[in-house]
Amino acid sequence: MSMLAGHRTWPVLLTLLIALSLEVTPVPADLASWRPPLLALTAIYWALAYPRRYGLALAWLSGLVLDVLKGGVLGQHALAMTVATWLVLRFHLRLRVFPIWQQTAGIGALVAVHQFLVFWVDGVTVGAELSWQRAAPTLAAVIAWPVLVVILDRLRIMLGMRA
Amino acid sequence: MSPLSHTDNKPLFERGPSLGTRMVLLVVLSVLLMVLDHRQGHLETARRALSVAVYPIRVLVDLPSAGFGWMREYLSEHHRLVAENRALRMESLRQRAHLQQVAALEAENSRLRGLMESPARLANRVQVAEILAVDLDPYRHRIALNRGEQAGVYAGQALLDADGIIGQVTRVNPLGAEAILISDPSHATPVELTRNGLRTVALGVGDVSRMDLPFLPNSADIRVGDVLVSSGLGDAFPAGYPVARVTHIERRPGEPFARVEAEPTAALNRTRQVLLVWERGEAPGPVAEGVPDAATEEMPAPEPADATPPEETP
Repeated sequence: MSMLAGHRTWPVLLTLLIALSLEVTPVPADLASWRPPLLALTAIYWALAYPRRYGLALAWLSGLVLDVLKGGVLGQHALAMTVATWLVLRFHLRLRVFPIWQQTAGIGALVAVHQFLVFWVDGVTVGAELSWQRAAPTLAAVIAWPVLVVILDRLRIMLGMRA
Repeated sequence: MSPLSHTDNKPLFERGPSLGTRMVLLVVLSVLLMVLDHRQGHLETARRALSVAVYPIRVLVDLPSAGFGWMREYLSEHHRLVAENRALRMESLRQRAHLQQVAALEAENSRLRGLMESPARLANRVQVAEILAVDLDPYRHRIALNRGEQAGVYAGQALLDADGIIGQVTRVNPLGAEAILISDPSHATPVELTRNGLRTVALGVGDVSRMDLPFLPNSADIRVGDVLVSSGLGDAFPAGYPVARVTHIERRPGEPFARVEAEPTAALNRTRQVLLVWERGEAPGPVAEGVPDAATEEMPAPEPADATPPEETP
């Protein structure tokens, strides 16, 4: 069934892999807390684009890989990404037709939930304390989302992937 | 399959469990994983298997900075290299002269220890490992290393740089390892003052330039500038390596303990090469052969600590 034109899995896996690498790419220490949750954003994008193909299972698996990569508690990002993707799938019909600024706001709210879950697990396992820096990834995600949409939309058009 | 299944239209009849059910299942699975991993630590085998799979990603991410270092070496000018070489040779000469003295002192020390009938300390063995340029988590001070089981690294092993203790290995994978820095908020290092042997614990606070010494009474004999070395208690670190230098003391008459801060002597966030220490001359296992920087060498044993019950280090 993947013989039909426009059904490609490798761009999805490749972009997820790139996002995964960017999650641990070294940045200056002052900017470290401003790293947007790129893996979650990429998974959200693909879930929004093909909600019947890339959903919860993919989000959960990539979250698990991120947990191993970051050396944190297994299941932390898997949980956060599952919930975020579930919300996307729940509201994808609305999110898809929103103008970009409204969509960005919606994604911002989703990422806030995602970040809260990550923080919660941090708090339970290693005793993290709340600071304004915890909001930084959500703000960064709001800035990164339109850019990501432009890049990935262009990639899909370039590869002739079905809209 | 019907052509409809290729579109994103909602199929007429849902197959399999509903979205909500699947979400709940995966959430429960995640929570189960977290409990098993964090509370029981049952998942080490699963993590090891997965960590081999993600090791290429870590190496890939490390490539740009490794390549940058290589380019800088390759493109730097001849005279700079010559100057650097000369400086290094001078440094090596100075160190060798110093070492001669150390050898004499070591002999004297072992003779004195023989007189006191206490067991002689064997030299520690060290091996160079490289820190992969990978940011693991901004809220935890963890680093990834490029040496793992195949180089004989073990969990709990101490990490040094040229100026002092950096941290200890927390998790070993077949190809690499993860380590915690002494500045991590959940890390405590047993230390003692070189000046008077006062023993205490230095806690990380999540800042690479600061450590707290919260358990010193107001009357403690401590001064700004005092050097703290590892005490060897707790069996986590070899004794006698520098850890931090006291930078700030505030004696608070109303409180049971003084506020004492220290600055780690090691360059926690600026170093790329670290030394893995095998205590008491244990063989570093099957050393990876053909790796040019996997040099294993002897180091003079630092001053031993007396045998008091070990303290708990997380």
